[in-house]
Amino acid sequence: MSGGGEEPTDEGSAGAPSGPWRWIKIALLALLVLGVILVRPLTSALAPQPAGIHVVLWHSQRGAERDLLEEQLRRFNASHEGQIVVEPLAVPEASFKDKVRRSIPHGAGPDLFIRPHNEIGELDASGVLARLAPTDLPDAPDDYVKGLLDGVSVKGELVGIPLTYKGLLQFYNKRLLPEGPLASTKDLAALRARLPEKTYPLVYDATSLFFQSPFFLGVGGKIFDESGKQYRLFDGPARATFDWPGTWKKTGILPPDVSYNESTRLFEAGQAAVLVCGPWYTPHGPVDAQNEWEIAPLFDIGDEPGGSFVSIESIFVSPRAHDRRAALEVAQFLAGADGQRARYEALSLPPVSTSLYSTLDSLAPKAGQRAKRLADAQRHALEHGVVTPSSTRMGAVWTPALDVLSASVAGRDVDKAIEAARYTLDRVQDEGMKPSDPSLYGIALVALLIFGTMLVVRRVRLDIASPAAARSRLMGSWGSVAVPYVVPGIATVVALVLVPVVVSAGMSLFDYRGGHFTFVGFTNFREILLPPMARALEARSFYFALGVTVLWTLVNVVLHVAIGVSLALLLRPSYVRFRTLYRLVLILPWAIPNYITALMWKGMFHAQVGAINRLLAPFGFEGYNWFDHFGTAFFANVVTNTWLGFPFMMVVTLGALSSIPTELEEAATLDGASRWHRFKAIVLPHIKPALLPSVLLGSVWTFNMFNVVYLVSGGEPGSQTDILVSEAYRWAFERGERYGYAAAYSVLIFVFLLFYGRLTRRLEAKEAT
Amino acid sequence: MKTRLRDIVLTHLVLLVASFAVLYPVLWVVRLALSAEGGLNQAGGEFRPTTENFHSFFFAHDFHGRPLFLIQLGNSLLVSGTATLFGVLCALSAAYGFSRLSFPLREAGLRGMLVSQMFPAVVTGVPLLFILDMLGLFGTTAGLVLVYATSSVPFSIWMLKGYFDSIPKDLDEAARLDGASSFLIFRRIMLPLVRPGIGITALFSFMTAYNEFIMASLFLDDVGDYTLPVTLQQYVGGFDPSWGIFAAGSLVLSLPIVLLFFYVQKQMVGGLVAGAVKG
Repeated sequence: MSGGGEEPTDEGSAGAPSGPWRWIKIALLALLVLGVILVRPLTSALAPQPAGIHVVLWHSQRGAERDLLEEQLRRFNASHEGQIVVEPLAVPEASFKDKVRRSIPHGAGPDLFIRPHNEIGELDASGVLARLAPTDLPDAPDDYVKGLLDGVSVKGELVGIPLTYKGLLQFYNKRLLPEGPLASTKDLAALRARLPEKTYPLVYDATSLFFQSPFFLGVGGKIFDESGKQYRLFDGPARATFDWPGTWKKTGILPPDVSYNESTRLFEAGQAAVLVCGPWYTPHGPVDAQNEWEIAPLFDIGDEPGGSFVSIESIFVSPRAHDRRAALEVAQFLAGADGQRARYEALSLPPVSTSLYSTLDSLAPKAGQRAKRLADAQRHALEHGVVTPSSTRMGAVWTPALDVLSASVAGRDVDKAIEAARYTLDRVQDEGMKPSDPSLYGIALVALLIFGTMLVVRRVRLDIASPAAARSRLMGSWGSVAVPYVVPGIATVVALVLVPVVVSAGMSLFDYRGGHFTFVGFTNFREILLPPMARALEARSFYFALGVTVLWTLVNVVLHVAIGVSLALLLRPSYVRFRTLYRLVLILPWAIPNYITALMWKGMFHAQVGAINRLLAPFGFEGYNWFDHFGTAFFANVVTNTWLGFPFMMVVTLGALSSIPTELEEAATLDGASRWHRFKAIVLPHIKPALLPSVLLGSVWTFNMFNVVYLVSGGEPGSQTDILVSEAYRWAFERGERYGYAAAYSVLIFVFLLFYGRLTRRLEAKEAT
Repeated sequence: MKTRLRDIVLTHLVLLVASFAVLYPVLWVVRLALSAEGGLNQAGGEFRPTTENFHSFFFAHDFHGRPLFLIQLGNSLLVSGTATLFGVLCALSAAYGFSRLSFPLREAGLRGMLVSQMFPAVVTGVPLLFILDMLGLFGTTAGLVLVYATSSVPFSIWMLKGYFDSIPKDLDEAARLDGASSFLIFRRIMLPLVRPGIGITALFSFMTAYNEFIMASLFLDDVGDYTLPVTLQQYVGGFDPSWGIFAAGSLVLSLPIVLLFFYVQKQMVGGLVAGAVKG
């Protein structure tokens, strides 16, 4: 593996080792194959599936909540042995909604799922919620706390069973606030003045509208107008509350990093007086060890009592549940009085039936007095707040609001962010796309097919008449001889590659909404390619993503080539010792699977855990969030991709370098050629032919480098760092199943790559002559 | 020579810096893997190695107490192995045909194959979703194998064609003049000669499938069906990331791949570049 001999082993020189090695190899391979084949039967034999009706339950609960849920289900399974088996599956929070909407209509997915109620509008539009009768409820309908059943209904029809509800409350530090909890937002400035540096009066996840809701609602903010159709999110007095996080961060009321994790970390370290959070959270760490924290209802916003959005944790039944009766039995078990009591005792979550409240004192919750306070604080949040609206329109609010709040926190222009958010919201308001008349497109399709066939026929004719064909005919390797060899392969490629591409192209002419395709012709393309002027240069628009992609590809390829070639040149001189070792180390990034590299660098750039911030701590980078700004987030992506990309160029260059005869250079040196001259006249001409195709290949790889962008920056801030490929993915799977729109994106990417391929072939042909 | 000493020092300096930049993140992951989960937040905390992260990774179990690591390792091997086998088997004769025989539309077919290589797999997610649904394979291991086959088949044809091309034409032409049938040439002359190429192609195709996570997380619903990359990504994908377990898992998952890579890399570069240039 040392410097020379980089040529691939063409002639099979390494092939067919003889003697015992060969048999060991074969035996190992056989063992591996056997293991793979047997692993499924073996593992299922180790833990056989229990008998009974299987009810699959999806949830995204974590920590203690998940433990309690699984314990309850174990109890249920034990008492229904042989009849019903519940199988819970923890699905990641971020993809839960899309996953449910995707799988239930396909007959896959869960029989039951546990979700906060606020997505039911969207979920119902996709037809994944079964209708329930009041008799399906474990308690009498009028026994539920006011507002809850309305919260889990769509257009007056009940679709879910409430388990508990969650509103926001304040956790406060008794050492920092000896006189009791924060009374009003008016006291924040005074508190700031009193607290030591690096200790903050208030921490909360200020980029989320949910955690921002006390302030938004406190000044009288409304999401919708009376009709429930028009957004009022950024109108009236509530507009100002979007500036608050930015102002607070600047004045030191909020910490530099306002993420959820950092907020709880600061509170636990005793560096925050008040944390706004929900009942799912229990402080750990120093603040808990010294028993310094306590719970209280939300502080006043100005002079108004503070409430919040309240989400109702509910259990829903799939309309395609395999056994509705069994599914309902599980749901009732979890939502009934016993379940509510267990959640109150173990997690201090408030019960949903009013009759249970009078018995709360007689229960012995684990958290003692705190449980009662917690339940009271939540009722306070519900009383002065609202059950989060659950219409389809509400689902569209979170991301634009997040963008605006992120802009505020990052110190960007809030007005501009609001304008972009309004645009997004306006798009939601128009009801789908207008169907188009397919007949015109049908004619176009027929014309296209005829044209395509003509092209193919012409190509076949040319191929048959070509001199190469005549030669192979002579050799007997023409035509029908090839059929048995290539037809199976070609048929598979057509079925596996061409069919999806054609389906994709077809889908790009449709609009997909709520499980139905509507033919809309070129509307998707028009929306992508001809957005309103103001919108064209914002994140999530095609041109913005295209610009980012081109920049991304250019920067990366330049860095890959520059670093790769330099290192290869440095590795070459005869005086470099440990060459093999260096080379081995330097190609390591290529060897590591790129999704692991990406996640690893995400960790390196992590605001708290990350090594980068720790290295740069002397320069004030402690707790710095790299993904708040386009520049730094893009930088993080580029660093990751350069790290994993330069070894390829290095290895290719090393291979090309080894083919330069040493005499050539020695002669040049003797002739007194300068180093730069030698590089230009001898080295460059030798490595160029190898480098050119590698650069073209590398640029396509980078153009398509979904993993790095998706895993490192995740498109942050606000999808600004997303490239075309990840945009297409998000439109399909993370922005509410806009399959048609996403398919149109794929078609455009396809066309782009096709042109690029053409261009590069020309380039190569020119280079060759 | 003065300049030479300076050159040596400078060269080594740059190479050392580069090696440091490469190794630092890796060592960071090793350290993370050996740290106790709670000890991450304290910057100045003393470092006491523990294997608890590896323990949590290997002995994770599902609701019914089944060993998740074993099951998912099995899934990973099964899916990648089947996709590879399928790809190579489909590709062997086709690659030979494309390399040695001529027929109408050969050039066009090759070009199409190249374009399909350029096209990212993620973007075909949407049509594949509906195709799998139609076939009733949504959320199944077989469905995922099919998804992986969409890239493994054209890739294998490309790679193997490159290997067939590298065998001198005189060899089979001589045999043909001696009256050997094209099947005999394929079976007796070509196949033995490209055997190393088949191995490399299979390994590379296997690694690609083994390292794939996004399609797997899109198309699989059940923890019992997950492949290992999906699980690994979920350790750090949610609200409360477990960086320690992720680090331990990523070491466990990368190690065999890194070793394999070092074993085959020399051949791979050649094959990849040759495969992508010609045609």
